[in-house]
Amino acid sequence: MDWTTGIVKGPFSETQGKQLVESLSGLSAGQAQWLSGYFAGISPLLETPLPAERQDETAPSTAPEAKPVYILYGTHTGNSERLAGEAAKRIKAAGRAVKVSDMDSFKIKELSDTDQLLIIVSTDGDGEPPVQAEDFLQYLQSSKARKLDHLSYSILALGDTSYTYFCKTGKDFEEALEKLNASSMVPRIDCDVDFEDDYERWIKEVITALGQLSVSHNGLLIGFPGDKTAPQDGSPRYDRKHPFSATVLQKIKLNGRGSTKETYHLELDLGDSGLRYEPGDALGIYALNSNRLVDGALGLLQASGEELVESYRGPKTLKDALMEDYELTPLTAVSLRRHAEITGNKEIKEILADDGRLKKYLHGRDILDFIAAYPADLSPEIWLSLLRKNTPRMYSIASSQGMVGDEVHVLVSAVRYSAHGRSREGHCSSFLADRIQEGDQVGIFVDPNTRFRLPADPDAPVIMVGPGTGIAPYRAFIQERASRGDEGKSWLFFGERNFTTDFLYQAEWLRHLKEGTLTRASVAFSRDQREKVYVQHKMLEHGKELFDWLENGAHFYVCGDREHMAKDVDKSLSSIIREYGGMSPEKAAAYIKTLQHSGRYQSDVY
Amino acid sequence: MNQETFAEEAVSPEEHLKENSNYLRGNIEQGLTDPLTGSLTPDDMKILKFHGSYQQQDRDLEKERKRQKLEPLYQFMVRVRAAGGIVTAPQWLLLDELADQYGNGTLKLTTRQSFQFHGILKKDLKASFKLINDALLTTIAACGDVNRNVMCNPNPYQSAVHEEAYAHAVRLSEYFKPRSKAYYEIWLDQEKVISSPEQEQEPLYGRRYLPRKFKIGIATPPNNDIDIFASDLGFIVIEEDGKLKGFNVCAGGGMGATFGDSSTYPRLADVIGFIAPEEIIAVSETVMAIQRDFGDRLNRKNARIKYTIDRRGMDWFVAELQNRLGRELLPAAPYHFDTNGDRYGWLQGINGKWFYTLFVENGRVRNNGKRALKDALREIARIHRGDLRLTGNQNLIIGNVEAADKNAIEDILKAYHIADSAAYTGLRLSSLACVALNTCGLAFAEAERYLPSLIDKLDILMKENGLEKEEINIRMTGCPNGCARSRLGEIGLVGRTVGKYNLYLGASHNGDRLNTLYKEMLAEADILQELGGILQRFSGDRLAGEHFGDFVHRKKIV
Ligand code: SRM
Ligand SMILES: Cc1cc2nc3c(=O)[nH]c(=O)nc-3n(C[C@H](O)[C@H](O)[C@H](O)COP(=O)(O)OP(=O)(O)OC[C@H]3O[C@@H](n4cnc5c(N)ncnc54)[C@H](O)[C@@H]3O)c2cc1C
Ligand SMILES: Cc1cc2nc3c(=O)[nH]c(=O)nc-3n(C[C@H](O)[C@H](O)[C@H](O)COP(=O)(O)O)c2cc1C
Ligand code: SF4
Repeated sequence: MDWTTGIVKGPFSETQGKQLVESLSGLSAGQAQWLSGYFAGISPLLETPLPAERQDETAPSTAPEAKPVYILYGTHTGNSERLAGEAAKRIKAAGRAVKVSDMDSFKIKELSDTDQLLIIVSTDGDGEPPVQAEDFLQYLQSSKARKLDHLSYSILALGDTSYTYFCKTGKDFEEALEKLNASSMVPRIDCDVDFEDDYERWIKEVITALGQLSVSHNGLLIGFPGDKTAPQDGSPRYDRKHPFSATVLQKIKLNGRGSTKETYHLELDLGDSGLRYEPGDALGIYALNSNRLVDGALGLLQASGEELVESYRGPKTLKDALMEDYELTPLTAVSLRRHAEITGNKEIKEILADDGRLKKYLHGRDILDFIAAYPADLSPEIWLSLLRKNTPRMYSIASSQGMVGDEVHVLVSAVRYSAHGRSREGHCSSFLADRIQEGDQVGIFVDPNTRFRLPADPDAPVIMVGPGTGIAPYRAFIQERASRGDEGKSWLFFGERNFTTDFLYQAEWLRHLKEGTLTRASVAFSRDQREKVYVQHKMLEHGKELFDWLENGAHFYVCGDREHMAKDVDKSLSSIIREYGGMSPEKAAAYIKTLQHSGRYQSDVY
Repeated sequence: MNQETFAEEAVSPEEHLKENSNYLRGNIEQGLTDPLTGSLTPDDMKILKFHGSYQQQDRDLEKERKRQKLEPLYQFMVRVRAAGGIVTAPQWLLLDELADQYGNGTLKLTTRQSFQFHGILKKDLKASFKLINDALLTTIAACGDVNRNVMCNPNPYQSAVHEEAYAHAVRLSEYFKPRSKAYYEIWLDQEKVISSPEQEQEPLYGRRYLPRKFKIGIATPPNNDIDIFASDLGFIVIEEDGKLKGFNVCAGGGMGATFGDSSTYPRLADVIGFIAPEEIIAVSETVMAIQRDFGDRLNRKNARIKYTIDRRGMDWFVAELQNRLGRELLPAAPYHFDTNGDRYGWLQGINGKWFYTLFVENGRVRNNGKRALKDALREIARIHRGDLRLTGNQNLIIGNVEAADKNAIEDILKAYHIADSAAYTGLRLSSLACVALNTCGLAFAEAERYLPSLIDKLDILMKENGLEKEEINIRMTGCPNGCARSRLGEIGLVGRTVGKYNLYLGASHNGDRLNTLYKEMLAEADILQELGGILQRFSGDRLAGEHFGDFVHRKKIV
């Protein structure tokens, strides 16, 4: 029989029956099963009288499924903050749990499990939101914003009628929330500078409304556990061979004014690709060459670019082939070898014959230097065959899906240098730094790295060493642990050039420290004082504690520059173990070996 | 996340903070060494004020750095006090160097005769304090809920009386410095006082210090260059055949207000009586004690003595004062102020030396293209055998110049394209603007960075109406706190939001009458249009010698 008739026949009022049918239809078997258990558990609590019959208007503080009321404020001169605190007291007194937060500290993902939201926000500037409220408002207005059908809200807008845009920010929030299908519990009230009475009116109405809402909650309109959308199955698989074109949602240069560094934070939209990654994984990114280089190459080849050629990716014009399918930087021995084979050029053969010379020759040179130095009358297709195929570059993923959902974040340092009288740039990093804007698409895939992972044990301490872009995976680590609510201690070692401009993700680390999701951080800024200071020095400075952490089962991670940093960090580590573990060099080496074998010393260096 | 408890208490949190700060130590020392942030904790920021420094941030970069996931560019403003604002040439050279080494390359001469440095990073704060103290200057109590440096006409050599008045200002400044040793421990590495309260009691202030800042000034008629009526407590020099007879006492001044909060307002000090010179310390101490005991410690917005007096009435206040003094004040003696502006150019002192009052626009000493004021003053300080003096109008007096050196100094100013006052309109020479953006955390709008360009445009109107030499004092502040005493401007402009100002008109030319709100929320075009009309009427209908501020009243414009 049709299950709905069961309900209709059941002991429910017509509306209840309808509500139930609506709410229950489309449940997966799992969800239905979960609910049956759930109701069994809470049925005693459900035996409260129905809305119609209740007299007292305040909510039963016991309503188990009534989530705390969330009060968010955005303030410039403090009024909204004060009222938010006041409101919290009043609502608590009325028997409901409350959370208060300024909009900056509020985490977007908390929206999905908030049912009742109160916003107290002033208008600043000439109709602008207070700085505190900007990001949150922007998010709600952005295309990223998720629908909020489950949310009921009310807004108290603070303002001043003598300004042109009276209470504009409050209105903007209203508009955004309406667009996202959130429902208004009490109409917005716009206050002039003498806001006390209006506030009083508002909070009274809100408390009444909350009373009723939470009652109807008892009347069992509860969100299903399954409503956080699960990844669709049957979604196309993307990989190195089949990159997904992800849209760039945000691109931010993280270095402050006057910095000597150039580091970009990129947020990419995985959309419905179904792509999943874990902290520690890397993201592969395909770059296109710059017009500058392509035209340069065409010039040297005396070609127009319109020539049809056969690239390993199929037929296309020479220009497109050079742009998409091959690399023009950097130069590799392969190109030299192919050239020598075809042309038999002696000089190139000599270079190839002598490793030292080869290294020296390749250093800082790119394909254009090479073509220029050894012109040869070859067909464009032969030339192409000398080139390195366009290979993706890897970037440590700097986000956790527990925190950012269907996004992936990376941190990219622009490679620029000049050599042989020309200024040069990295193929992929300059592509991301110079040629990609928000809204553009880039070809990506996830490159799993099972050898750089958080401990399985959520309580295990972690020591994370990552100067420069080496800090990226730790942002993912900490986001992951924060979103899971893991308790394990964590210690970050970061280094860069200057504190005021180069402290990558500083604001986020400070918040994590404040919230206890990061236990401690040690930083080294090499150019803020006369003598250079690096992470390995900071490790030694705290050697005793660091060793204690290891003894207490800490996992040790190092990420970033392979050439110098990783080696120096390793040296510091072993000298710390020797000194504070009172071990001989051999013993220390063995100690480190065991760390490595037991997966407690992992490195991701490049 | 913000989980403050908003429970009501008998006193404001600031009071507990002061009380528990262990005589102004707080945790400043730990805070200075935290490498993860350029800021101190909110509590220590408040305590730091007593040491003469404010934590600020570069507000121009606020949004940009937020997006970059960097904390705000925290930096410190450091205020150097010098009673009556006098420093020697060598001291000037040190301050000049400090501005470049640790600050933002400028010096700000303030409306209360102090120096301010901006843009000092936390890591350089201690070194900066050291340098200042090496120069035998200090920052202690340049801010905070204590008596600030005492204002006074900076040229003691105008008359014997000026000299005496200045001596009194110095005595008061010294006498009311906090006794706490915290300053010397934290900044000058002097060994810690195992602080048993006895060792460093604050006999006057106590553990909670005053409810709010406290400002004293001494004015010598006919000059009211320090705006005596804006002070919490003021002393007006009364002279009798060339000697200091005593002071008229005035109390209850203050400029600050908050938009939309009618319990706050600017107020001018009232003259309450006359005292003999030697009574000045006793009277000051008693007035401060009354404010300490009766000032509002719950609501800082109503904590200044002007509100204490208005709450309980002036009669009560005078009675309480006389009571504690155990004697009556004598009736106030007659006096007259003719201006609250400065006299520019050369002036010979009673000691035969020369004093050059230099116009420093909004008190900002910096190199501005070819007008390299900072370099010029450095050069002067190198050859100068006298001293340098700050006026209450953000100007500078090159003091105690030998007649023989006058030309050398003028030549340097010329060489660096520092025009003499004759080159400016009376309006510009009578202008004041507070710091406001980008460093002041309370600013709603620009002031110092904007007023000069507004005056460029007003100058055209002044000239059109033949008023280029007319001294109309115009004062702009970025918020209603009134740091440039904007409510005492014949023309007053107070920022509402970036680009918009309230226009006030009709203060007296000598600082004894506040201005009145004329129109709200004016953008530049509106300001020019409104003032254009009024200035035209002024040049047409004014009475002989009538000041602009009086004119707008006579014509019922306000
Ligand atoms: C530098 C100076 C203005 C200038 O351009 O010269 C100044 C600058 C500031 N004043 Fe002021 N005040 C300055 C003279 C004044 C005056 C003028 C006077 O005293 O004659 C007043 C009006 C008189 C009075 O006190 O009422 C003044 C009334 C205020 C107020 C309002 C106080 C009140 O009780 O209403 C504040 C805000 C506060 O204290 O809460 C304030 C606060 C500030 C602060 C420290 C902002 C803050 O608290 O965060 C400003 C620092 C801005 C910056 O970036 O440097 N400042 N301030 C003056 C320094 C004086 C000195 O050397 O000590
Ligand atoms: C697992 C892994 C994770 C990574 N994570 C990150 C990350 O999180 N962030 C990040 O920014 N990068 C990361 N990288 C490095 C990144 O993949 C690229 O190597 C980097 O961006 C440079 O690539 P490019 O295409 O811009 O430069 P390329 O076009 O590949 O050019 C780089 C080459 O230029 C030459 N060159 C560079 N500098 C000079 C110089 N001064 N003088 C002479 N020649 C020079 C060298 O031959 C160098 O190999 C990671 C690499 C790996 C393997
Ligand atoms: C610099 C500034 C700009 C303002 N701009 C506006 C505005 O454009 N529209 C408005 O309605 N109110 C405006 N106001 C008034 C404030 O919204 C009002 O004072 C409110 O009570 C401040 O609340 P808050 O302390 O929570 O920021 C402005 C206030 C300031 C100080
Ligand atoms: S008047 Fe306001 S804006 Fe100007 S300095 Fe004072 S507090 Fe800042």
